Amino acid sequence: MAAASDQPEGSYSAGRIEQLLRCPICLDRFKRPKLLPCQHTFCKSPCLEGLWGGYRRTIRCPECRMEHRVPIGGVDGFPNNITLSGFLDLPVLDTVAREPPRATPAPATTKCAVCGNDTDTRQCVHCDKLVCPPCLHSHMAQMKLGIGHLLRQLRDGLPQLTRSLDGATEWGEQTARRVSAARAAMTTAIDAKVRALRERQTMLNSELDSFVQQERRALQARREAVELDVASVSSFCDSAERTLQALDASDQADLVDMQTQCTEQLEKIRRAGTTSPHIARRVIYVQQNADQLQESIERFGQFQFNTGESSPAHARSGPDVTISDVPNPDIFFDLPDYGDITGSGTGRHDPPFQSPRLDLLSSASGTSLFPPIRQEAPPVPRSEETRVAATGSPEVFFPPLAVEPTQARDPQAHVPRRVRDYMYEMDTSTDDVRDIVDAMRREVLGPRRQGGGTLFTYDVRQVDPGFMPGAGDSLFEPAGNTEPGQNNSQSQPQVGERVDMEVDTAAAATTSQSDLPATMSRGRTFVQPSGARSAAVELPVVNNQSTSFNISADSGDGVRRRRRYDRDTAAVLRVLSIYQAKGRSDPVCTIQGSASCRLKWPRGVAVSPINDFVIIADSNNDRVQVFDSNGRFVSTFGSGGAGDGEFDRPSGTAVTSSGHIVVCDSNNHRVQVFDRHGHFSHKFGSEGTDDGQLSSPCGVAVDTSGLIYVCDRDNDRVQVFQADGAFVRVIGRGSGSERGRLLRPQYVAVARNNVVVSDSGNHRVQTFNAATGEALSSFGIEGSAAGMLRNPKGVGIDRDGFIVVADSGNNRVQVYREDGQFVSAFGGWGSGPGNFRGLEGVAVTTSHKVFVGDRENHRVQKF
Amino acid sequence: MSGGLPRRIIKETQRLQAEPVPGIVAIPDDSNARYFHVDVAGPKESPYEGGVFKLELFLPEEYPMSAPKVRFMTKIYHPNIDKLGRICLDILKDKWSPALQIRTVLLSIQALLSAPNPDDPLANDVAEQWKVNEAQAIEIAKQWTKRYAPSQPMPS
Repeated sequence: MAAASDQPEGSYSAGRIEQLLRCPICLDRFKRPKLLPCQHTFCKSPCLEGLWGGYRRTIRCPECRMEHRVPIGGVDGFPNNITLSGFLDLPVLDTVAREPPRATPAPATTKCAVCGNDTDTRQCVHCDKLVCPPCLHSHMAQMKLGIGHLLRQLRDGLPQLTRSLDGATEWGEQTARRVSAARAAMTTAIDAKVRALRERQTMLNSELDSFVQQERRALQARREAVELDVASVSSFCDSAERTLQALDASDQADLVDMQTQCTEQLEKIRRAGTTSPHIARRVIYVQQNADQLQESIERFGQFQFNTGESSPAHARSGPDVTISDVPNPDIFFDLPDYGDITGSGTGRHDPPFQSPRLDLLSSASGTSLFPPIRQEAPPVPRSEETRVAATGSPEVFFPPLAVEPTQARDPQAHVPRRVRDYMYEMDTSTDDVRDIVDAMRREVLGPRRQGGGTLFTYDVRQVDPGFMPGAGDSLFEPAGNTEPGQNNSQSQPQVGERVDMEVDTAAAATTSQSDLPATMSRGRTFVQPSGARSAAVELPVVNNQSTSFNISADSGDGVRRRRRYDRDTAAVLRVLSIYQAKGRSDPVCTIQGSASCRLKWPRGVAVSPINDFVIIADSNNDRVQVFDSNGRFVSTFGSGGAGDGEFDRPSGTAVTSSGHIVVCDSNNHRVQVFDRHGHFSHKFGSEGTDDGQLSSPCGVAVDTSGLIYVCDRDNDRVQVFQADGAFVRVIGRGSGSERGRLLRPQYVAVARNNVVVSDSGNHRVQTFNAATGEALSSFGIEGSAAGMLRNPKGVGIDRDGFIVVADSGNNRVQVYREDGQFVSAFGGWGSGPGNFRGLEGVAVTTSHKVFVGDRENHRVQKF
Repeated sequence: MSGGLPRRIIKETQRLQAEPVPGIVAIPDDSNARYFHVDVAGPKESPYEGGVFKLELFLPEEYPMSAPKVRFMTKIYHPNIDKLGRICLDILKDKWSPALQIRTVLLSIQALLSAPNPDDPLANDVAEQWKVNEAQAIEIAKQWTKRYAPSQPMPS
C-alpha cells in the first residue's frame, strides 16, 4: 500500500518519483515504456497493445487524445522511452519501503477483501489486499497453480530455445561460407594487382634492355668512327712524311697543299681531343607518386562487416571482382580505384521514407480537401442567341444561357468534370422537350446554385439548322442564321467553351412548382430577355417518333461524341430536376399533429407504399402517429413503457409492402412490428452486442421481400432480420472509419438490393450490397460545403436511385445520385418553413416528395 | 472467473478506499468486484446541494479500454440525465480514454451536477424547461432533491 500513496505535490521524494513512473493505463510501474509522438508514455503491453487492438491504423493518446499513426510493426514501432527506462532500472529505493503506511497496518481486524469476514487480516504480498488467512491460503494456492501453469509454459517454450540454437549453428555455417567467399574475392583482387605489377616490371625491364642495346650500338658506332679516324690520320701521316721527304723546298704549291692537309688533320685531331668524352646516358629508376602508391597499397581493400540485415546492392565493386557472385554479401571486399586515398566503400542505403497517408490525414484533421463551392459565377457579359431553324417545325428555344470562363470551375470531387458530347434528336412532346432539357442538364458537370436559378455548364456548339437524324455531323456548327440584330461573332459559343444554362424558374413568368419553366413547352418560341448573361440555344425538332435521344457535343478537346439516351434515362433526368427544385419554395405541408395530439421530437419518418400514409415516430410522446399524405391526422398508437405495444423513445419507422408498420423501439433496444391498424404483431431484439441483439437501434428499413434492416447504432452495425425477427446477418465490418466500417450509424434505407446507411460518426453515407453485405461505395466527407456532410442522419432512397440525406450537422437536406454525385441541397437552421432545427428521419415517396423529420420544431415537413 | 480481476481495478479500488474523493463514496459490491455502489453528494451552490444521490457503476470486461457504465439510481431533475438515470456525458461514450479512472468519471459526474448543459440534452423535456425558465427548473430540481435524495449521514 505504501507505494500507492500520494506524496504532497512538489516534494522530491521517492514516492513522488514512483508516482511519475506509473503508467496511466495500468496504474503500475512502466513496463517497456513507449513514447508516443505527443510525448506521452505508456507501457507497450498490455496497455498500448490493448489500445491498439492489433489492427488499428491509428491510436488516440489516452492523455491528450491526439491521434497517431501506428507504425508498421505495431505499437512496438514506437520508440522506447529510454530516459524513463533509466529511472526504472534503478533499484527500488529504500525510502520507498520506509514510507509511513497510510492504511491501517496488518494486525487490525478489518474486513477481508475477499470473503468479507471481520477477522484479523494480513496484507497479501501479491496484491496488497487485506485478506484473512484462509482466503490468503486459497489465494496462494491459486498462485501456485498459476506458477505451475507458467512452468508448463516454460517447458513448452524450451523447443523454441532449441530452435534458436539451430539458428546459431546455421549462423556459424553461414559465416564460414561468407568468409571464404570474401577471402576468394580478396585473393583474386590482390592477385590481379600483383600480376599487374609484375607486368609493369617486365615492361620496365624490357625498356631497360632496349636502352642498353641502344647505348651499346651507339658506343660501337663511336668506336668505329674513332678507329677510322686514327687509321686515316696515321696513314695520312705516313704518306705525308714520305711525300715531304720527296719534296724539296721549291715545290711551293705542293708544300702549301701539304700544310693545309696537315692543318686539316690537326684540326680533326684537335676536334677529337676537345670533344668531351662520350658520357654514358643516365638511367635511374624513378617512381612517381611513390608515397601515394605506398599508402594506397597499405590501405588496399578492406572487409566490411554488416550486421544481420542484408546490404543492398553495393555500387563500388572493383573491376576485377564481381560482387554479384557472392550470394549474400554481408561481408564484402571493397576495392578502391587506383590512386584513391581513402579506399573506403560507399554506405548503405536506408529504407525509403514512407510518405504519410493522405487519406488518413484528411480524415483525421477534418479539413476539407475541396475548396468551397463558388457562389458567384463571374459574369461574362454576352448577349447571344443562337437559333436553329427546325425543319418545318416550330422552333424551340432553350432557356437563356450564360457563358462563363473556363477557369471558374468549382472542383467537386464527385461531380464529373467532362461534358460529353451530345447531339439531340428531339421529340416534339412536352415531356420529351423537358427531357431534353434535362438531358442537357444531365450532361453537365452538375448543378450549382446561383442566385435563384440552378446553373448547369456544358460545352455546346451551334445547332445546325439542316440537321437530320442519323447524320454524322454534330448539331452544333457555326450557324449563320442568328437573330438579326444580334452580334454575330458572339452569337456562337466557341468550341470547347463552357456554357451555363440557367434554368431560372423565377425568370419565366408562368413557372409551376415543378421543374421546368412553362416556356419549355412545344410549339412556343420564347426569347428570354437577354440579360447580361443570357443566351438561347434552340434545337431543331426533327423526329416525332424517336424513342430515344442522342446526345452528343464537343467535350472541349475537339472530339465529338455521341450518346444515346433512352426514355428511362430521360425520366431519370426529369427526376433530377425535381430534386433540384426542392427547397425553392415553401414546403408543401407541415405536419405537427392535432391540437390534442401534437408531435413532440418527431424522429423517424416512413411512407407507406400502399396508401402514401406518413408514419411518424413521435419520440418524446412514446408513440407512433399516422397521417395521410396531405398531413391530416389518421391515427395514433402506442404509449410509454416496455411491454408489447409500448415504446421508450421510438426512433425509426418503416412500412412493409403489406402495410405492416415496423418501429425501432430505441431505448428498449428492440424492434416491434404492428399491423396496418396499429395492433401489435410481434417484436424482436434485446439489449446486447451479440448477433440479433441491439443497442439503441435508431433507423429501420424494409425491402420488398420483407427483410428488416435495423441500424444498430451503438453497436456500429446494421443487422438484417427476417420479417418474423429471425436474425439473418450483419452488415458493416465493425467500428471504425475504413471502408465498410461504421461509426454510430443512425438511419438506413434500402432499395433494389442496395442498403444505404448514414454513417454518422464518419460523416458519410455508405452503400452496401443487401445480399452479401459487401461495401459498395461511400460518399461524403466532413464539412459544410455542398455535398459535404456533418453527422448525417435520416436517409431515404427513391426508386430512381436518388438518395436524400438529412445532413443534421449542417441543418439541411441534401440529395445525391446513387453513385454519390451531388444533386442539390436545401434548407437551413430555423423555425420558419423550409428550415429545420434538428434533422432526423427522412422518407421519400414514389412521387418524389420528401418528408423530413424536424425534431426541435416538433414537426415533419413535406417538400 | 476468467483470470481474475485486472490489477488496475484492484489498485483503483484500493485507492478509492484509501483516499476517497470528497463528496463521493464508491464501494465495490460484495459478490462482484466490478460493480460499485456509489453515493454522490450534491455539489454546493447547485440545486442538488444537500442531497445524496445513489449511482451504480459497472466496469465492463474490456475496462480500461472501454468506458465504465454509470447510471443514477436516484431520481434527479437534470437536463443531461434522463428519467431512467442514464447520463449524457461524453467521457462515458466517445471521449473515453484509458487514462481516465473511476475517480475521474465520478468527479466529472459531480461537475455535471454543478453545471448542467441544457444544450446537449438526452431526449429530455427537462432540457427544454431549463432553457425556457431556468429559475423554475432549478426550483423543481431542488424539490426533487429534497424528495428523492434526502441526505443521510455519509458512510465513512
